[in-house]
Amino acid sequence: MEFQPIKVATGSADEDGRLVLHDGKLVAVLVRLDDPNHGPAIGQWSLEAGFNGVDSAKPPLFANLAAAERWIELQIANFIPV
Amino acid sequence: MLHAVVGRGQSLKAGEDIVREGDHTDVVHVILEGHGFRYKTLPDGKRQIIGYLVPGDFCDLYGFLLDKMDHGIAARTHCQVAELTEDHILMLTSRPSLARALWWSELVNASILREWLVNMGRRTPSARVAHILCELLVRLQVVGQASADSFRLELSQSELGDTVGLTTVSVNRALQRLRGANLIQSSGREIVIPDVAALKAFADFDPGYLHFRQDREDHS
Repeated sequence: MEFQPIKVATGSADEDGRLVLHDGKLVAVLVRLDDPNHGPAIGQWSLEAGFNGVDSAKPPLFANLAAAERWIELQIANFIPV
Repeated sequence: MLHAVVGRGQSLKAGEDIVREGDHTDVVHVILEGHGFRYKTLPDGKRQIIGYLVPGDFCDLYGFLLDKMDHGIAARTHCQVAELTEDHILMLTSRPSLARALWWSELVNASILREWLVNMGRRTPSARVAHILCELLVRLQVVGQASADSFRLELSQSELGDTVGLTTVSVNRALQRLRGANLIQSSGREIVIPDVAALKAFADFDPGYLHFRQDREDHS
């Protein structure tokens, strides 16, 4: 999996993002929560968008990119194409 | 009227279930004081809030007709809840004006649910949150718990997220946008709406779906 730095326009101070590529294809967009409004969640990574099974109605926040990678791998492995 | 039939009711702590999802209920619960919400729980533990309850609201009108509750009802704050038996309901419905009030109440419940469905399916995150705030403002005004432009929001960002199908992060950003546009001001749980008409316009909020009828209120 590949993580490419990208600035994301979220309308808040959260803009340090990563494009997550799997087999060369975009599967997720992550953003680090830097806005003071997030309180205790500051510093964690948030799933802003996911594609082809990398999604959840209520995705967890990730302490670091390694944790995000593990979760994304799990989503891809468990994905049932319907 | 309700007090005459059932007394002060039972006292529930914040977070307690008024009726549990899957349980059968022999009685109808009515919120006398406090706030509650309806919810459904998914197998993985996620929760969807499917309705808010304010004082005077029936939680499970005619619920005794069903084998089991298809959703749960919880106290969001400390609640005082009356319990009406099927006999109480039959007694109430023997008076046409009260029977109409109960029918009206169920029609409004269904109407709110329809509006929430539209809200979740067809509005942006900021407008969804704004719409819920507008609904709370006018519903709390009816029961004397909101001023012309402010009320106390008895919900966390996580509960708002469970209501409008957004993550806490998205709710947080939606609230920030509303604050940034000066559509709301908030300090702690107090929500102040500087220009109510502007927030309603932004949220595409038309209170018609709440079907307020002053004459109905007077009859009941």
